[in-house]
Amino acid sequence: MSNVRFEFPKLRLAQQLKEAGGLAVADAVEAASANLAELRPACLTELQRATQEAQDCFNGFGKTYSEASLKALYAICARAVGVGAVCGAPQADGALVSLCDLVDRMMNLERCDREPIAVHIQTLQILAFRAAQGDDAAKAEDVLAGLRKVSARYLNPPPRAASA
Amino acid sequence: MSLDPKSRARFNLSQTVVLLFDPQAAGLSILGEILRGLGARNILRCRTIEEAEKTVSESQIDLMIVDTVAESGAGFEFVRWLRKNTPQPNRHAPVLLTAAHTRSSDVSKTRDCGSHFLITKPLSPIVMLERIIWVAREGRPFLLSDNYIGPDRRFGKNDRPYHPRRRHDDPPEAATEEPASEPLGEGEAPIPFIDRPLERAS
Repeated sequence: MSNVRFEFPKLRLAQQLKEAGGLAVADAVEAASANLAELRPACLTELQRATQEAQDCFNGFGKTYSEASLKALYAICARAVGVGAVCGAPQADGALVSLCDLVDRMMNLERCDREPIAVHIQTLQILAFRAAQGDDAAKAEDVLAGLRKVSARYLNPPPRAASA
Repeated sequence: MSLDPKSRARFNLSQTVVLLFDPQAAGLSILGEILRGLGARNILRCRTIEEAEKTVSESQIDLMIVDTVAESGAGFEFVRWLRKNTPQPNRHAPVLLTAAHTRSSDVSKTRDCGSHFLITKPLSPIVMLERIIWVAREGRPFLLSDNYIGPDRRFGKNDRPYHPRRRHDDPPEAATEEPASEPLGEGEAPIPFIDRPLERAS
């Protein structure tokens, strides 16, 4: 039989948050947002680097299924999620997450179809380019919705004959 | 419970020792700048699990924000190690996990590693603050069993932390376009729901 017991810790954090002084929520959120704005150039560089790395990785894919190749691509994309929002390209984060979903599902199915991956990477390249131009890519939502549909197909996978 | 980003309620993280773990330089910078903006002054940044374990062994930590590391799951292992192998008070420290993506095979690790909450990237200041306040609330028991060590995962239905709001829900220009806020009055109360005890699951 499993041995279960409870403890009721007193968290120092709870007391610290209530200490006098501190910040108003609005001021803190504004200060944090201003801090993030300073990271914009570095995050744009990071997004461009990740996009290029993803392309290079994809170019090295063989003709047969390779879990190692998919894992490498997954790692590149997962590491970059979050920088898009800081550099003014939140849709790039969406595209990266969709690509992570896609690659994860392909690994589960032990298959690797090139076109769905390629369309994600091409979209990332466009979004990174537009972010560098200062374009907020406001109309990219439709494109993102399309990418999510592509990834979702691998939850209920198409027959192998349809793959590239 | 939802936190209005324009609220004048106050909170104080200036004395809080925060450990941040993210192997990615950009991720660690983003996290650090958010915490710095929220008023944290004692921020310990770690890029490797070894660094994080050493830091936990040497310092009393009040809050840990740990990236899961999607490709390896190293963040889950760190939290598991923390809960199992470190003495109090660090063993009980609130842990927020951040995740770029969760592989379908890792969903159970997210639930079972012993963290308090998972925040999906991209991160936003208001969501981070909401979660910090939420994990600090009193009354959540810590459960120790053969298979799980961590905060009680059962919530009362009124205690579930709000809808998932993400960075891109916050209009970036909104803060600068707002007129200057009224000066804070004397005796402005702290965020009220910090004191509200958690409701036990029925």
